[in-house]
Amino acid sequence: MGMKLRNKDIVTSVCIIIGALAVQFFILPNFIEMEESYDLASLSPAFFPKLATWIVAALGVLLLCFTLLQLKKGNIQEKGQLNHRELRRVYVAFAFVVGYIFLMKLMGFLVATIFFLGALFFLQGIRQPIKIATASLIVTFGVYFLFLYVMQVHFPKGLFFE
Amino acid sequence: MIENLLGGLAIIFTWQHLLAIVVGSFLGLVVGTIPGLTATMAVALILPMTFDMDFVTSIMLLVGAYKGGIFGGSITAILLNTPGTPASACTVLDGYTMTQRGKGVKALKMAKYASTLADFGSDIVLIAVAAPLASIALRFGPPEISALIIFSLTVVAGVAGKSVLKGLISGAVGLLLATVGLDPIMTTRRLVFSMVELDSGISLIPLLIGLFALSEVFLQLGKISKTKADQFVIKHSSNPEDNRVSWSEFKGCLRTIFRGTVIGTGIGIIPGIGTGIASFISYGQAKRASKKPQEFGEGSIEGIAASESGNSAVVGATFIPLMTMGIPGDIITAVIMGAFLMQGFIPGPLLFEEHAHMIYAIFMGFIICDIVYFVIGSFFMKYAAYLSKVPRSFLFPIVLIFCVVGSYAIGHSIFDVGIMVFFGIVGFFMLRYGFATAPFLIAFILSPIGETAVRQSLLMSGGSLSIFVTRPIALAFLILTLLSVLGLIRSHLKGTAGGEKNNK
Repeated sequence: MGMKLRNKDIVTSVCIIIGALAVQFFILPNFIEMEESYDLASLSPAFFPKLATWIVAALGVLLLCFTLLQLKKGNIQEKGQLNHRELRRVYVAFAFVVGYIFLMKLMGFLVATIFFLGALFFLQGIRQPIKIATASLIVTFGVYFLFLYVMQVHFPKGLFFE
Repeated sequence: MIENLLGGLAIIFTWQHLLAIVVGSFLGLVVGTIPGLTATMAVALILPMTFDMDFVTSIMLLVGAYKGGIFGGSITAILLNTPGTPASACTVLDGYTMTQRGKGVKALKMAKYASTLADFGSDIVLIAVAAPLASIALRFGPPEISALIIFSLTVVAGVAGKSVLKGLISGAVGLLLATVGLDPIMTTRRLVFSMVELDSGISLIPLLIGLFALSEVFLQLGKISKTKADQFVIKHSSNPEDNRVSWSEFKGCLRTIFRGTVIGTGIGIIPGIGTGIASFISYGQAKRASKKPQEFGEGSIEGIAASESGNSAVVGATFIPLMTMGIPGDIITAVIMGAFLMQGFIPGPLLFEEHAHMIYAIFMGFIICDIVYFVIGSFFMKYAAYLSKVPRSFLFPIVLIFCVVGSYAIGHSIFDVGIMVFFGIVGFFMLRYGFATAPFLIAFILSPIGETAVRQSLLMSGGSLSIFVTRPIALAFLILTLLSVLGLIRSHLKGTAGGEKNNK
């Protein structure tokens, strides 16, 4: 278990280093508008992002070295917080949330939220359709009217209903 | 100062401000009581609702939630063996044992007295030292501000999680992501990827709701509930002595409460350490000094006083670096700093020059908060156990909806909801891989100030780094940074060596 988690740290640190180098050499030169050459490096808009990226890369290298050193010594790290089955539930929740945002754009807040909440309640192990429907409707309309009338928040109506 | 305090009192005593304190404290108590929901989450979710409020009202609502949330966590720690917030983890040791013996109400009352007194003590220190510290901070120029921010970020990154390196990486990524948007000096566009929405940078409120509320919701949605029904059986004694704290018991704990207040306040002033550690240190010191150390962990009322005074005293003190230097002391004050910025106020020494009455109104509000949550807490304790039984399967999906609505409400933008979800997923993986989120947020908030200060310093010196070591205050902060880094490496190596010994 310890070895496995240390390996995870190795992968993480390698990803951090590669990511930082990609930002440094590909993203920063292409996505920062540079209008002129600067007399002082600190005047350049890229100065601070470059500095921060180099720090990330250097720390990534340190993390990699430290992890390799610990792996050699055979130190054991603490257990992860979720097992595989629980992790799968989280990934399903990610997918639901991303789907919910797209659905909200298309169908509007009310319809999307009712379906989304129903799906989440089901994911959480509630199997009685009446309970799911009642809770979804009450929460959705409760939140909708609370924010509409108390905080003047107008929710998206959706492309199909505008 | 007296004039400012009186001016502050005149401002705070309006029904809107008092209502904000009552509502905030109540919401904090409710959220803090529910295991899995933290005081940070309470403050992050309430923040978008303060958008239309005036400055003092919005801050009082959030401070009420902060204080109420920390105290609320101790209620379930005592009654149900489940700390509502990490700050109350230490209270479980004696609190739940007392509940099992039918003395739960006595334990709750001691927790309430200790929390209120310690919180009050910490607030007095805040009021006393804030203005003098702010006047010193006013003399800071760009090099001093740069060095101070480097020092704060190093300390926060070092102590916020289990790995110093991961904390530092987290902070450095926060610095980088904060550069998205317009450059503060040349106003050119940076890293916006042709998205107009990113011109003003990544929105802070969706980011923090995602990072602190949604990531936790994802974690809880994944967990399969293992709660046993019998955990909720609360024994109640019919003996009146078991349901009250006698004067002699209270007097016996006063020294412990005072010690906890000093420890909590001292820890709160240092950025990043937080309530949980203060509670454990206070508990450890109380046990060492006690005449009955053997009772600690076996239902000692002194143990509860130590733990609760330690964690509550942190609250007021964390505002000292925020109010005087614009450096948030922990995650919650970072979120509250977001509220300051949202209202157009930049926390720091200038606030004392330009809005002294408002700042002192907030300080007086802190003390009113202590009284309010003492009173509300008395009623609330009776029903708290029922609240913590809200089924998780309903609770977390509903909290998720509030995350979505909260991030949408700020700018009426689905793009902000996308940002919130993105950082919710990022936050989940940060938690999973042991990267503390506090350094990320604090670095993100401090980055624009830090970037401007560093670049201005280098402009002043013509690009020479010597400016940071030739000015005494900047040099002092850099030496402190070096010392704290060395201290962190030493403690880290000690911990590793300990781990090796244990493994053998």
